[in-house]
Amino acid sequence: MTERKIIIITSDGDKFPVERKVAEKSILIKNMLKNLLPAEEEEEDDEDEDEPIEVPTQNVRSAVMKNILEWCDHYKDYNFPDDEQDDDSKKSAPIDAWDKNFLNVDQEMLYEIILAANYLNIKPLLNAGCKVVAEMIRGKSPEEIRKTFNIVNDFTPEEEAAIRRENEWAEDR
Amino acid sequence: MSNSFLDRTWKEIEPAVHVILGDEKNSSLDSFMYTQTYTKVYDYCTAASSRRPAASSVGGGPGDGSVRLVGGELYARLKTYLKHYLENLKQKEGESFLQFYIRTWERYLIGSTRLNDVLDYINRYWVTKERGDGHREIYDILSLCLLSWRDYKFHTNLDILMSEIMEQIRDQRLNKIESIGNLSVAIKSFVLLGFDVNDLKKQNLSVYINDFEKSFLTETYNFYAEESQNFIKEYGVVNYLVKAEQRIEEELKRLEELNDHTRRPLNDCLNEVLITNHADVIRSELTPLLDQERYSDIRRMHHLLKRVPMTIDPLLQQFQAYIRQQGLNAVEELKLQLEAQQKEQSAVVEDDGKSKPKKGPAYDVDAKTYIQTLLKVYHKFQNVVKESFENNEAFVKALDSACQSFINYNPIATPKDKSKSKTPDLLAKYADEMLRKKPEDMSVDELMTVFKFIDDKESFEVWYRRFLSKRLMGSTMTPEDGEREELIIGKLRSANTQEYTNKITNMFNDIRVSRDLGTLYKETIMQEHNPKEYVSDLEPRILDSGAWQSIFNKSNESILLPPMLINTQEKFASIYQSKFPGRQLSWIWNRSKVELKANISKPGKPPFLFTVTLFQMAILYPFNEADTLSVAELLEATAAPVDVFKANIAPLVKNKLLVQNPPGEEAITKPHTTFTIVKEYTSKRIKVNFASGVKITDSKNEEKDTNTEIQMRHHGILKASIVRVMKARKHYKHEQLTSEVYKMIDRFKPTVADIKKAIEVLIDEQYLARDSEGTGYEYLS
Amino acid sequence: MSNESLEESLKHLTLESIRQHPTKTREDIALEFFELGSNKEQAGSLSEAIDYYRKAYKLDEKVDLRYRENLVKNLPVPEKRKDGSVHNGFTKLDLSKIKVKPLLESFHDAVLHPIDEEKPIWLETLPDEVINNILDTLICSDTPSWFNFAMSCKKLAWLGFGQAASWRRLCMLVYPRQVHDDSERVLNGVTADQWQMVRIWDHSWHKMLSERPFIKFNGLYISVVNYQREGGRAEFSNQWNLPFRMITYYRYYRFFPDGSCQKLLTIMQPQEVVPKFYRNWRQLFGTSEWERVYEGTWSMSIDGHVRCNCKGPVPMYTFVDELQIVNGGKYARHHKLNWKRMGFVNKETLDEGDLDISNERSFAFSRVKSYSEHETRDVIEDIHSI
Repeated sequence: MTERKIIIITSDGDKFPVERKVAEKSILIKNMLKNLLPAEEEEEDDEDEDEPIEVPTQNVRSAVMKNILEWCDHYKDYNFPDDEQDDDSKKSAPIDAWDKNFLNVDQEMLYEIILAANYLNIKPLLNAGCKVVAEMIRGKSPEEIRKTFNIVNDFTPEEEAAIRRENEWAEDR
Repeated sequence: MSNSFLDRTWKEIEPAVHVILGDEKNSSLDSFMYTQTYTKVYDYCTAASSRRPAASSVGGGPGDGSVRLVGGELYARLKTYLKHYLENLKQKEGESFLQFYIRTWERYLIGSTRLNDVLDYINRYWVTKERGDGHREIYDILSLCLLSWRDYKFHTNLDILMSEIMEQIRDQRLNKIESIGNLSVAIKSFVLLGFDVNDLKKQNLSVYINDFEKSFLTETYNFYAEESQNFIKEYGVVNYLVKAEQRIEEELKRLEELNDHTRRPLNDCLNEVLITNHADVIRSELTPLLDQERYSDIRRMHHLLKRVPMTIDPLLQQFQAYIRQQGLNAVEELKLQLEAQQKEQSAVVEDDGKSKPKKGPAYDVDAKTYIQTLLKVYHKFQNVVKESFENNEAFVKALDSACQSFINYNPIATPKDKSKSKTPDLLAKYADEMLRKKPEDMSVDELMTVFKFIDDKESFEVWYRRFLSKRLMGSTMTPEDGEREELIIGKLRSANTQEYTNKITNMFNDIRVSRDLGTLYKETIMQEHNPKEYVSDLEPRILDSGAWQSIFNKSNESILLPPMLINTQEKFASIYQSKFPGRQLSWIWNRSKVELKANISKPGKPPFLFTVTLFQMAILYPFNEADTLSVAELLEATAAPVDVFKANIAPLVKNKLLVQNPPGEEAITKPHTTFTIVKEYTSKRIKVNFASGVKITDSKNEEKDTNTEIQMRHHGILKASIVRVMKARKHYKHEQLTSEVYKMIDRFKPTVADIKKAIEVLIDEQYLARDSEGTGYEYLS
Repeated sequence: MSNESLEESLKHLTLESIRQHPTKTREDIALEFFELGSNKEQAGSLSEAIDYYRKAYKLDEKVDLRYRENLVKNLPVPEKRKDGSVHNGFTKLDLSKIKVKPLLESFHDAVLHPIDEEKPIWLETLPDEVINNILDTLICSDTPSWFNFAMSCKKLAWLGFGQAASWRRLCMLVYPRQVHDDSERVLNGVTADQWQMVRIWDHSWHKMLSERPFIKFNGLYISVVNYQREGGRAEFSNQWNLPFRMITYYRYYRFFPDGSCQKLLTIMQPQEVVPKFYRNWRQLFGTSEWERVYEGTWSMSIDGHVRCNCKGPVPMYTFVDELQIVNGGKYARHHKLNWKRMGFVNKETLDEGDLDISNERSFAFSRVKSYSEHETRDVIEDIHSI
């Protein structure tokens, strides 16, 4: 039995034919396929069988999708564990080297990939993106962070001092 | 931000939500609608979070330190929508409520699962966060859908739903409907409707249990309470056994349609209503079924009752009592039969006018018949245990207890309440008969079977030795006989202890050693200067007085040894003393037998070979010198006691070797009575046995002697046990001592009086003393 | 008066000469001694300072109060600023009126503003839930960076401090690693299920983290003890300027989430000890008397009573330190360990005894960057692989 073709359509109308297991790295697409093709095995001689199924992804543009699919293809044979229990050790683990290299893109693309991973529900990629951003923050003072992200310090000095005093203790654990 | 964005978003997704949950036209969901709906929700949530509304309409109060991510508004809209949707589902014409429920539920469940995925973005962040912040009243979309169903579809229609389900089940039980496939859909929906508010992933059966299971069990109970009562009344217990089994099977099959939680309560319910409630009636059928030997029906009864273990105990008791009664009946019947036979015989004897009224039992018990009667009962019920009770351990035990009871105590073994059981004697007799006659219908296994049940193993041992001594002293044993004897000894040993069979083994050894001594004697006299002065063929039997006690009893009769034997006696004594210095050898003349060559045949015929007792030899010896001798002369020559003389000379007279003058039993010991030896003896055989006609005095008192010996043994064991206990305890109360000794002794069952007597003796012998309070004893070392 | 002249004038004073001093009262001279002590202390000559302080107190028990009064009296009066606030050369912020919680909540709708209007704020493109993910990652991997990130602007302060999620994450990181003994679990119902535990603190993760004591692992606890030891003293001696010695020693404690702990009593200063106070201290410390690290186990009660059972200089005894986790002032939460009891147990007879703790000082926590989880894990693996 040949697998049904999947074609991802981006917001700007580009079509990406992909393998099912690549597409299913996106839980959004995986769930959708589960819900829309439930009876496939039973109705083998369905006339629609050879008809590819089109998956519109209204919020991702072609350039970003290309990157996303590259990531998905890289991990297509890898099963990410689904457990949320071990979250904090996963979160504190350093970023995977391949991911780090993969996300070594310009700022605009990085944030678009993060957004798309969030939209398509690709948790490992979203987490990897967040780790890259976290790396930019690590070891910096608030002032340095503001410079890095181009954000203004909108506290009054009193506010800043009071918030600092109230919460600083929590960084030790 | 204005509500218009929310309104617009909701307006855009509502048609899709309707399609997903199922609309009238049953429109299908395509991938475009799917992702578009997802995207609308995503856009709403993310856009709203960066362009924040002034005040969140659903958002939490400022006091709890948490804000609500956007999503709450959509959640609230959906909640309202679900209520509306569910309340407007229409029952089709001609559709029962149950059918309606099942049809809509199947569709709704699929729709809810899809909706949960399509609205995933709300679940992923907003719901997770709300629940993380402790808002347990917020659920994921699927759970929200199910809860809405529970509130607007299930609880509101609970009564009609349950009554239709119960009606269905009742119809199935009454065989009105075959398949219940659809029903399980409805029942399984109840499982999904229960929630654990703290962990939505955890199954929670509250709805299933409270709303369904309880009434299902009540319904089941009521149904079967009525059915079973009527069925028993109409068709009787035996048919009910089949029916109940079948019903239980059906109901357990129904479990496939239910949640497994119901397994236990349903089992309990069925057990109670179908079994426990009727257990007495069912059990009362056991006796008639046993009477009629309907073992497969009994098996069915056991199989059914077994489901409720507490109903088995009374069944066991009943079974045990039944076996015991059967055993007693069998023995009673045998007893009546024996008495009848005895009466017939004695009637014949009475015609001869010689009978005297006897004391004790009015019949002789044939050991073989008796033991086989016991065994027959045992085997019969052993088979029942196998056929009907699957050799269940408890039933094996009941059988054993019953057998133990009737084998030891029955009308033959214990004619009077307190009399000592005769079964050990009879079993020993059975063994003796088996070993001597070797009939095919007796076996060692059967012997051991009964032996296992004997309470008083000591008694059996004493009797066994008594018979054994006769076997050993009597005819020569073939090697095969010896093997059989040893086989039994081996079995007795493994069924008891080494010590138990010590004496028996020693007896065998004595015989073996005696044989060697005989050989030694022969070798010795061959080297003598004049071997003819000695008897050449001497078969000595040197017996240990401990093991052979029965032989030694009343064996002190003395005699003047015929002169020609004196050398032999002295020679053997000296050989023995030199081999076993320090041992005392006592001679038991009344057990000795002699073979004589008698030259009183007709001329031309070979001499006779007479087997005589030593006493008879002493009597005959003087006739070498004279043809006629008087009683006085003979008594002088032999120095035998008068009754021994009488017993020994009688067979000689009876078999016409000696002619008595005057004749008659009265005259046999009169001093002037004379005996004349015949000139020519006539007999068809060359070998004549005169010895067997001698009545050995102890045979009359055999039973009494043996019982005395047994009592001595019991007494000895008791004393030893008491001393052992007291040695350890030093000071002990009477009751404690009695019960401990009682527990300790396993080879027989001492009576309290026996123990008391043994204690008294020990006090006399100064092993024990009464304590100062008079309620116990002290050990004196 | 200069230090030197003051010192010179006081050096040779005897009790007798003080009593008969023409101009100065006993209190005046005490004050002079105290001032000299203070000067010496500032100059870093601690033992000399102690010497003079001691003399001052001998003359006047309340010399410190008097000294402070004099000091304030002689300070120049601060100039009044136009707005009426006192200016001391730096701006003193008045934080007393700020309530942080409502303040954070008022940042609820804050948005990011660019420093450079020309450049984009990429962070702005991410929805809050993704920024939360970044904050979460920071808490797990580098908690101080979480703090700094949240300190950078109002919106991030709201997301980082104002929501329960950060505090929940911290609780989840902190409490499951605390070690409670069995009786604590049974009697006080301490469970590893923090969702259960947080009920005690009104379902507030922030309240739990603030109020429920915990041991910190990313650093060590240090107690500094200074004391003077008297030198020899002749009997009936009239002399009061006796030889003194100032002694400083340190106690160090380090705890691990697996229930083990290690401690060190030494004169070595923190900068010497910290780089060596790892699990594999054996390979890093020398063998002198001051480098004896003792290992042991620890557990705590829910209210922060910590009990440590450690080996010690006498092999037959287990040394028991009982400490209480307390806040260091209002804001440094769970920062200090106060002494409750120091004792020992004979391992064979189980006889117990107490040691004197009147000279001991509280421990304070110091964060050490390299004392992260990964370090301890690596070391454990090293040990296993040996």
